[in-house]
Amino acid sequence: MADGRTHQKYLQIYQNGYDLTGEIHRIGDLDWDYDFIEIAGLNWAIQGGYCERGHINTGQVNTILRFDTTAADSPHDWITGMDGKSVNTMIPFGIRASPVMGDPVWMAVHEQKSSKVTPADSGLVVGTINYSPSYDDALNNAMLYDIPWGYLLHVKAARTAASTATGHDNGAETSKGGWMMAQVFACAGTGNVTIKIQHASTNLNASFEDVTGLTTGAIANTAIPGAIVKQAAIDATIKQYTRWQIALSGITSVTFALAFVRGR
Amino acid sequence: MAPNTGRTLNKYVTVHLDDSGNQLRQLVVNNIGGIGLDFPEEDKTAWSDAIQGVLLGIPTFSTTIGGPFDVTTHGYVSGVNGGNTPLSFDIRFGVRQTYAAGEPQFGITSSATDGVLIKNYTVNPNDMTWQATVVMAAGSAAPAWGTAAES
Repeated sequence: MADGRTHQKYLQIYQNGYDLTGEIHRIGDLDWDYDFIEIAGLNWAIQGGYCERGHINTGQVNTILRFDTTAADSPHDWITGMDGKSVNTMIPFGIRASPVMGDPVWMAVHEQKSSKVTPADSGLVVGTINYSPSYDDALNNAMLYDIPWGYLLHVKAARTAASTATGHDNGAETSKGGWMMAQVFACAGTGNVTIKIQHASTNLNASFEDVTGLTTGAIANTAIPGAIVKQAAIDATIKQYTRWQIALSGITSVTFALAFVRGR
Repeated sequence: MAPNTGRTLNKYVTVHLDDSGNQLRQLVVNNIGGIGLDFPEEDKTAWSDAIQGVLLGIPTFSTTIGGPFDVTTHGYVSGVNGGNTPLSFDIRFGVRQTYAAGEPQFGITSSATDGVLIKNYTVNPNDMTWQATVVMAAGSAAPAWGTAAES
């Protein structure tokens, strides 16, 4: 993970297991806002308030129409097929390079309220995607966390075996849980895969163990592509180091991205 | 370093905000909304008055800060957005030099009851910039102009 500034050309965008990076030319504001009403007692020095309910909104995404007669290879079909549904969107921010472990990631669980194709007077045929906020995910699990920004634990890549790698250093253990989003793009073979987050107090392979709640459970090859959100209890301890982990059963290869938000 | 007097440039202005551990951190910023208190007016003019008059109420303070997206600043601001723990906030105006004690600043040092909050954090991926809104915690002392950095 690098420090410093970056350019939008290093961003990627995934949704429900589809990599839309090459199909999108602009991403709207990633807005994380809280209701706030000012008030003052008669003798207060200044008016003030507290942050109330949060609002997490992914701004309008501008697309470039691309069609294929095979629906599975057709971004136009991917996008329109998600209209009116709960979707999981992940936007990793590469820092002057392709995203790597530890880079910031925007993750939003919301409804795709529309996708429209709007031919311009000239140039490529383009379109838009718009979202509405959601209090729960596609499986009707209420979101326990109001935090959309996390960090990448696994860049989009194919894996054929369990991880023995070291993890991401948060600097300290936390005790307010967290939530994960897995984007599963493709697999080889028939069977299932489980994607999970592990944590450790020392950054050694042998020290890592599963975190209760932060596992996708078995994902059948028939459910890929797809995206899954899982949440730990809001008072769960998350140790200093976190990493990705997979368990393959029948499937010989899985291509996925994984990101994590620590509670606070 | 001795304080300077006279005029200055924005290249000598720095913005500082507590992180989630209540450590004051300098942010990567290239725009700031208005700095200062705003006193609401209540019109007290009577029919028989020769001219209109108002009394001023309890002031408000809110401003926006923003700049190019930067990983470190992102960590600081996203770590406190939406929280209700008062934060220290300090805008330092170095006078044609890096800020030195004795030069003007505006802000507040946090305590259990005093400080600012962040109620909005927006990242614009189109131009890779960020924007946040600074507001006052309920019951806080007012931020003020001074010549000694906040802590």
